[in-house]
This record gives sequence, C-alpha cells and structure tokens, in this order.
Amino acid sequence: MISRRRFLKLAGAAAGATALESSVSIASTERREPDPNALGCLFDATLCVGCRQCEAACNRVNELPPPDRPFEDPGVFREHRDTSIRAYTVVNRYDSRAPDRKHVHVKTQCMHCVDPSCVSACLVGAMRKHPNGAVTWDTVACIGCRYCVVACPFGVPRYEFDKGIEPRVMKCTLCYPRLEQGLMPACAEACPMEAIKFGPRARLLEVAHARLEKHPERYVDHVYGEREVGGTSWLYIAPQSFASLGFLDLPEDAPPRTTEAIQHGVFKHFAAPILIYAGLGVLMAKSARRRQQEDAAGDGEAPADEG
Amino acid sequence: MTGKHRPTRGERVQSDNEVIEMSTHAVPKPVKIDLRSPGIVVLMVLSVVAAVLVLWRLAFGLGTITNLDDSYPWGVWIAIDVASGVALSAGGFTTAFIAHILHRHRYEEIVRPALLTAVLGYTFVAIGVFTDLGQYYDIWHLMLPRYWQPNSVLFEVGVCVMMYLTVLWIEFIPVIVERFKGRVNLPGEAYIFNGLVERLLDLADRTLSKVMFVFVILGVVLSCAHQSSLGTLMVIAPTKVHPLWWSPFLPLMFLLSAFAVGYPMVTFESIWAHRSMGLKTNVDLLADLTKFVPPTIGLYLLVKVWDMIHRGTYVYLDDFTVQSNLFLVELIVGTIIPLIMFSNARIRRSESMLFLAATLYVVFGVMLNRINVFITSYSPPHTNYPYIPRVPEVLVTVGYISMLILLYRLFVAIFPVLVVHEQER
Amino acid sequence: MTFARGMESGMKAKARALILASGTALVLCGGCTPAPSGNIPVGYIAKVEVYGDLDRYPVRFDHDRHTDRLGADACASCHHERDDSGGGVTYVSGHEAACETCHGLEASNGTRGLTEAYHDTCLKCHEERSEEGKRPTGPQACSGCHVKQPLPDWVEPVTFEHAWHIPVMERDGSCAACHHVWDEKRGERVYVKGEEKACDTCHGEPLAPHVKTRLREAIHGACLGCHRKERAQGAARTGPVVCQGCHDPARYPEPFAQPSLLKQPRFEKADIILIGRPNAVMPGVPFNHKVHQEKTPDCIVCHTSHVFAMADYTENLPYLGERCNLCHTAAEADMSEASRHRLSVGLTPEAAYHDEKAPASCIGCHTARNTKGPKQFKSCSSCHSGEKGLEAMRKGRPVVPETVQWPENGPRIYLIQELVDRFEPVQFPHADHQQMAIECQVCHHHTTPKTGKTPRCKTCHKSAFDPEQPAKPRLVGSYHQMCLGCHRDMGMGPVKCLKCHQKRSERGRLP
Repeated sequence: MISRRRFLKLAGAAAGATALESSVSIASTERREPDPNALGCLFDATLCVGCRQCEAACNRVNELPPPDRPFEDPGVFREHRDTSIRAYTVVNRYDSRAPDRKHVHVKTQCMHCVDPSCVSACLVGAMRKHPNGAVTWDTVACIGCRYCVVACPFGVPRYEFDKGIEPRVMKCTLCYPRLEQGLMPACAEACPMEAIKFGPRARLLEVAHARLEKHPERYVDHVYGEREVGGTSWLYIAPQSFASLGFLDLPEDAPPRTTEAIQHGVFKHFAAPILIYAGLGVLMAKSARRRQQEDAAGDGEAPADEG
Repeated sequence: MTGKHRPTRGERVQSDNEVIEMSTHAVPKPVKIDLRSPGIVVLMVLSVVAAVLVLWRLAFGLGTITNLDDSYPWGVWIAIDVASGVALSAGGFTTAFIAHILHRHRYEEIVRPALLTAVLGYTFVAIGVFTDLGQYYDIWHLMLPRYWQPNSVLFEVGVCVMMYLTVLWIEFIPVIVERFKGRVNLPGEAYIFNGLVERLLDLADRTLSKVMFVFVILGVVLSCAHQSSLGTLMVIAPTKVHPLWWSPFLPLMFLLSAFAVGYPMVTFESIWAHRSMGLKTNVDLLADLTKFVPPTIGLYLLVKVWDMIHRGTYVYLDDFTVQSNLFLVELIVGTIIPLIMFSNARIRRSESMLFLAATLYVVFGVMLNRINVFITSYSPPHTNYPYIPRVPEVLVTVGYISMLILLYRLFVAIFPVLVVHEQER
Repeated sequence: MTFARGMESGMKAKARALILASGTALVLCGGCTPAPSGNIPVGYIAKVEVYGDLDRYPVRFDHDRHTDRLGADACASCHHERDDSGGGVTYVSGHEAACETCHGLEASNGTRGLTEAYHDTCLKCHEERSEEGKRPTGPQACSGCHVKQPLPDWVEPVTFEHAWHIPVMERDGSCAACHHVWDEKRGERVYVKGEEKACDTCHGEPLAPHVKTRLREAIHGACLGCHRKERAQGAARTGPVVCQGCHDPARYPEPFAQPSLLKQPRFEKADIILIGRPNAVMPGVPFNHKVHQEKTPDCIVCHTSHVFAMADYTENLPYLGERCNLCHTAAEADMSEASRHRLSVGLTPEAAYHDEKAPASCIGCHTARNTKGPKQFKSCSSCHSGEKGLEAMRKGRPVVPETVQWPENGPRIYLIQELVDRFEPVQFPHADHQQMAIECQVCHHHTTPKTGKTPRCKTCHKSAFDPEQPAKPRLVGSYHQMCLGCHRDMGMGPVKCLKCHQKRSERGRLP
C-alpha cells in the first residue's frame, strides 16, 4: 500500500514532467487564416445611393417586424442609426467631402469576422463560424449570458432584453439558410447598384484592390476588413477616410488570440493545475510532518518517521 | 490567545487531514441570535423586495428592471453579485490554505466562518448568475459536454465555479455532520427517515475524513483557476475597455488581488458578525492573520504598477474623467492606504482601525476594482451615455446581500461555526 | 519705391500707422472669433426663442439698408398687423412689432408660420427686384442670407503691407481709399490727415451711425476694388485679386504679374484646347477659348468664383483665371481649400459643364435660355468629338462628329423587363439615347462594328452571381451603374427610383 506521501511525490513528479513538455507562454498564438472557400461581401461606398432596398430585403427574408418609418423615407438619415433587434442591417448617411456627391452611404451589419470574438466567447457554442464564412447564432444552446455582446469589437449582436422567455441574440446571419440553398444573401441580391458584391472572399479582395488601383482618385487606398481584428468577411472600400464614415479604428490583432493564448497556455494539458495541485499536496504533507515533529519534540517523544 | 498554539496533551490529535480541536473553551458552537432585532427586519424586507423583483424579471425580461441594453450588456449584477462575490469569497480558500495546507492550526477558528462566507458567497454567485442569464432555465447546459466550448473564458469560469461550489459544500459537510450526527430528529412525520439520515451522516463522516484533503487542495486549485479567469473575461474586448484597466495581465492581477483580499475579508466579516451579534472579536488572531496581507497587496500593487508603466497607460492618470478618477480612488484609497495600514502592527491590533483597513481594501480595493473593470472602464462604440443602474437593479443586489447576511446568521445559529470567547450582552 | 519721403516726415507716425494697420489687419481677419453658441451678433435674425436649436446660420439683416433703399412704403411689407375687420393686413405706424409676435413656429388661423412669413416677404421681394432688373437685388439663395459666421477656417489672416502701400497710394490715389471719414456736407469720404484710424473703428460691429458697409465688405471693396481696376487698366503688376493672394501668400506670393490665360505654359495651343480626362467614357470636347473670349463680355461669365462665404461682399469676385476643374474635381486631394469647404452642392466637372441652369456652364449657355449663344447643341456628339474634332477645329474645318450607322438602329422605346419584381418595367427611350451617344460602345461596350451585332445587356450580365468573374456586375447592377453613372455624373437625367420605374404592389416572388 503506497503511503500518501509517496503517492503525492509521484503525482508531483508526473505533473512536473508533463508541464515541461508543454510550452506555457502568454504570447498570442498564430493568426487564423480564413477558409479558402469562405464567402463574403464587398461594399463599395461610392456606389450606394441610400435606397435601403437591402434593409427592406433583409427585413422580408428574416421576417422581422416592420420598421417605424417606411424604407422609402429618407428622413431616417437625419440621425445615426445602429442595428437593433428589429433591423439586422442599417444604412447611414454621411456628409461627403468631395464635390461630386452630396452624401456617402454606408451599410452596417455583422462583419462575420474571420476570427470572431463572439464565437470564442460563447461558452456553450451557440455562436458558430461556418466554413462558408457565416457566423450564426443558435437559440438551442444559448443561455443568454451576453458575453458575445461584450466581446464583439463592432458592437453588433443585439439582445432582446425585454423578453422573459426565449430572448434572442439578433444579428445578420449572412442569410445562412439561403447560402445553403446556393442563393445570395438577400441584401446583395436586392441592391440595384450592386454596391454589395457577393462572392468568395479571396476573389472579392482581388476585385477590391483592382478597383483601388484602377481609380485611385475615387477611393481611399484601404480595404476595410482585410486585416482589421484578424480580417472580416464584409469588406469595404470608400471615397473618403473610414473614420469620417463611422468606421471604428481597430487593430489587426484578433482578440480571441490573446484570450485563447492565456486560457490554453495556462491550462495546456492541465499541466498548471496538476502542478499546483501536486505542489500543494507536497506542501501539505511536509507541513503535517513538521507539525508532528514539533509536537513530538514538545512531548519529549522521538519524531515519527514515515520514511 | 497569543503565540503559536501547539496541541497539548489531552487534546485529540488526529491525523493531519482532520480538523483539530482547540482547547475546550475555543470550540465552535452554534450561537444564539436575536431574530427580532430591527436589523434583521430590515434585511428581511430587502430580501423579500429583491425576491419579488427577481420573479418579475424572470417573467418579463432583463430590460424591465435593469438599465442593461445592447451597449451595456453587463451591469451591476455581473460586476457585484458575480465578480465581487467571487473575489470576496476568497477567504474560503486562503484560510484553508493557511490552516489546512500549511497546518497553522492557530488560525483554525477562522476557517469555518470563512468557509461559511465562501459557501454562501458562491451560492449567491450562482444565484446571481441565474438572475442575470437571459435564458436562465438553460443554465444546466454547462453541465453537458455537447454544449462545451472550451475556447471561451466564460466556459472555464462557469465550470470552475460549479465545481468549486460543490467542493465548498463538501467541505461544509463535516460541520453539518458535527451538528447533527447522533442527534438527527426530523420534524413531524419525517421521523421515519431519521435512521437513514443518521446512516448517511455517518457514511459522510467516515469517508470524508479520509479524503477531505483532496477537496481542500482541489478547492485552492479551482479558486486560483477561476479567480484569474474572471480577469481574463474582459481581455477579449481590448477596444472597448479603458487602457487604464485593460491588460493581458488582468488574470494575474485578479488572482493576486484575490489572494490579498482573503484575510481582509475574513477580518471584515468576522469583526462585523461578532459585533452585530454582541460577541467579542478575537483581535489578536486577526492581527496575526493580517500580517500576511501587506506582502500580498504589495505584490499585487507591484504587478499593477509595472503593467501600467510597461504599457504606458500612466498618461491617463491626470485626465480627470470619471474613469481616471475612479482608478485613482481604487489605487490610492483602495490599495495603497490599506497596504500602509496593514503594515502597521499597532493598527492591526486596534479593532476599529483594523476594520477600517479591511473595509477600505475590500470595498475600494477589490469591489471597486471589479466594478471598474466590468462597468467603469467599458466604453462601447457609438454610445454617448454611461451605464447607471436602475433602482430595482440595485435593490436586487442589495437584497441578495441581505439574504446572504440572514443566512449567515441562520447558519451560525444552527451550526457550530463560530468560536465564542466571551458573550457580550 | 521710395521710403525717402516717408522717412522724412513723421516717421514715428508712419511707423505707428504701419503697426496699427498690420496689427489691425491681423486682428481683423484673424481675430474673428466664433460667436459662442447662443450669442447672436447684432444685426442678425435668429429667433431662438421660437426655433430653439437652429438648423441654419442666423440671417444677417441690415434694417437700415432696407429702409434706406425701399423708403417709407416698404415698412408695410414687414411690419403689418391684422386690421380689426379680420381680413388682409395693414401697416400701422408706431405699431411695428417683431415678426414672431404674430407668426409662431407653425401656421395657424390663416397666419403663416414664421419661416414661411420670412421667406415669403424677403425672397419674393428680392426675386421681384431681380426680374425688374433693380440692383442690388438682395440675396436669393439660402446662404446669401444665412451667412456663416465666423470666417471659414481656410481663410488665413491677412498680413497687410502698409508701408508698401503708402507710396503707391500717395502716387496713384489718396489715402482716402482706406483712411477716410465721412464728410456730411460733401456727402463723400475724405481723408483727414492725422485722423487715420483702423477700419473697424467705424466699420466694426456695431456700425457707426453713418456707416453703410460692414467690415468685410469695406475691406474687400477697398482692396480688391483697387486691384481690379488696375488689372482692368492692364497694369503689368497688380495686387492680388484671388482669395489666396491675400489669405495664403505663401502659395501665391504677391504682387504677381497678371496672368494671361493664353500665355499659360500648360496650354500649348492655348486658344483651342481639349476638355476631357483619361479613362472617360465620352471623348473629349474641343473648345475654342479664343472665340469664347471674344464673344463673352467678361471673363467672369465662365470663370466665376462661387464663394458664398463672401456673402457680405455683394459683387462677384473677379475671375480666378483658373480652369474649372481647380475646384470642380472628383478627387479630394486635388481640391482647392475653398472648394473643400463649399457650402452649396458641389459639382463634378461633368456636372459643372453640363448644368442646364448655370450661366457658366456649356449647356447652360448653349441652350434655349441664352438666345444669343449658338444653338448647336443637338446631341452629345455635337461637342464630344474627341481628338478628331480637335484636329478639325485646329485646322479651322467644321467639326463633324462621327456617327455610326447601323442597319438596324434599335427600338425607339425599349422595355426593360428582365428584373420585374418590386418595380414595373422601365420604358427606356433608346432612340433618344442613341442620338446622344456617339457610338454604341458607350453602353453596349462589346459591340463590334464589323459584325453589327449589338448584344443586349443580359446576354453577358446574368442575374445570378458568377464566381468565375466576380468583378463583372450582375444585370441589376449593370443597368443601374450604367444609367445612374451617367445621370449622376452629368447632373442631368433621372436619378430617383420612381422616375424610371413605378413601384409594384406587394406581389411577385421574393428575392
């Protein structure tokens, strides 16, 4: 029968050996590359005229409640709108800095990141990134913790806070059911100006860069979404600075790389917990023995030695 | 009682895995409490109010009684009930560490109160999580492997907290056993189960006494894991958290502050509980216990300051915004001043000063830090208003704390938790 | 230039004046601090008590100027009140109330709302004066009244070289151009030596009682009036006449020689140029500048500077002598500072050239509005004759646009119904567009003349997306980009959805 102390010693040694194998570092893990078949959309802000047919199509296809103001009403542009539980996508109007147009319109929706923070954050796997690029939410798994809302750098997911039973996370799904049928997302199909171009993300990047090269006077030389927070499936090109069009200035690091590096680094092979466990066990055993020795010395007896 | 305590002849010295009794006049016993004091009434009212509000929220949604919205999905319930609740229950594992792992039996008498605080604290953390979840009826999903998404920090927090809550209750079983073994007397018709319960208690006593050490150590390990992972939670939003707080070293800082707050929290609740129940506090013991606090706070402060220098975020200190000001409060009032106070032996031996130092660190050093990390520092895009909790929202938190205090009283009255030195009227 | 005379007499006084003037000039132009929000300057109508937050800048209203010009009869046009019988309005002397006493924000009980009342009263009068040929008419555009305060931030403070002007003025004119006092008896400005004050002493806010011109107007009238006169008289060197000449002297060091458009190095054959740009759909337009110069009374007709910030300065600024596309350009980088801060709707070069309503644009002039101009405008190809037309024009031959004759010219009206879903089919006037276009390739960009085959758009542009050719737009995008691309660029043609196709009721397949 192995003594407790010996058991702990062996356990500690085993854990130590395991720990030495694994590399525990807090540096970010490798950048995640997009799936080569992943789809995406390219939004050309010089083409969008603000007709909001994309909003209307999205509303129809997702069976969302009708909006407060009709889609033809340009009065909505007076104030900045965000996506909401009733609108997966919105178009906003910004002042143009060039004389060839009065306004620039920009459509916002879920960016379907290549390395989504929400997918990494969701503890029950309700947020999923599909090989075709779409990031979808699954009502079955969700427990409503809203960590995805916290995690998203674009502030996209909207939550039904005023529902007691089955509140949902509402966001653009890239029309995942339609993609499965081989159709286009509703907004891309509806856009009369084809400001939204749908296709494989890699090809869209080529198209975007070709446009920037062919018409440098028309565009700012940057494809937004190419590298921001690790890359997104929605790419944007614009005639003026992105900051003036309501875009966020985001770093190229995908936040999940940092958190997952911490998590997996610390818990790799459970080395650290086992190591700590074994260490504490050894400490406990040693302290107990020292205590017994002190007691025995205090009593005048010889210290018990477990050998 | 001063100096190192050694078990003297006549004491029951069992194996190092079991609780060692103190000399006969320092044995934990149930304490008589007065149920009709005005304080109790107030706490009960607050608890009932909170219960009603929570039921309303469960039926009609979070938005009905909170100011949570898409810009601010996490509010007071996460920052205080969950995050601060976990941090302030750190006394459980830190006392277990010093008393049972390091075998400093002198501190035995604060282990059970700390354990009770932790048990109730974590139970209310779980209740707090349940209250905050949009689909609270699916809270059990985390137990099923098919819903596991191990990349998520929150997953690790959730699983760890679940396990630790179980471990805490297991650690508390000996207290239940001690109280009821051999004295099981179920009321009314249930008396037929007396024997069964008696046998169960006996079984628990015999098995747990052999394997308790496993759970004690496991408790410390689990605590380290989830205390730090709570910090990692906000690392996923670097663009939305103010640079004064965001750091890849948030987990380390959360862990160190959890280590540091264990004994101050024990001090805080010990003095308060004893005082409010008319009992005499063991100031000497607490003074000795808190001598371990300055190095822990010091280490935390060191890491925090180094991190600030390393990332260059000290430039925000003189912004005089709400955020930078609260950071200064957290740093100075909440960390530096308590550090100085705890370093002074005279202050540690004065009950009121000790209480003040403990309160400052608990409230302004740790609780404020958690609130700052989860609420104050959070700046979502396209939002030009701050998050201010609604009155019902705060009442729920206050109500839960009231329930916790009431249950603490109840447990202390039923179970042998507190060691009474002198009963003061 | 001699400072000798200046040196002799009262150098101290001169120096003091110089410092005063330079400093004042700096202060005047650089010190226009923005009015704090809520502070409406004197002489401005804002009526914040009625409107609350303003949508537009406050209206500059010079009451005295109106009473002076319009005489006593005009009081009634603004100051009226309902007569007791309940009908019409009558002027009651001594009962001049503020407009908002009766005109609230919204119309009620037959009383117009405040905004409507203002616009009816002010703008109608100005329009009438314009039609009757009275000058000045008063502003008719929004920004003429809703003047932006303070100065646009692209306007740098002016450093005024007083010492340099002294001998010039003494030689050519007199100091009275700038330093004058009003002689009541003679009814004119006279120079009184020793009483040289800074301009804003009298022309600053609030205006001194006898002063009629505000500061900005006064300064620009004095400075630019002189410089323009010099230029008109053909002086070799004049003071600056363009904004930047005074306000951005680093770029336009002054004084500079009068630019002669015809001698600009960038125009080799400056009298006949080709207006166009690379990658354009339409060929360039050969333009005979010399002929136009001879035919138009003033360069200002085309080279107008629309700078509404100078609303105080009622005359048009003299021409900049620059090409249209200095300001009207598609690229932000190329824009001049002035254009970047335009207050009105900006125009692409295409729109500027094609704007039917502008007197300064090609089509604006060459249309029925201007009975004197040539009415050669029949189709786009009349002007867009490209290199061939340029050759012909240089050789003095008539410019004959090349048109392509097809055996089958296509339908008169083509019904575009491929994508009928939410909208009705489009009745596309094919024949009209055919006339305007030079060659079929403008739209049917893969037509080959040899085969004579003109594929329809849908032949190549499909409804579904083609992953093999992601750059090619789908059919719906092709139509809209082609049609709206031209219409938006030129500023002519329908751009609103319903102008081309009516909406259908809710039926038909979902997308």
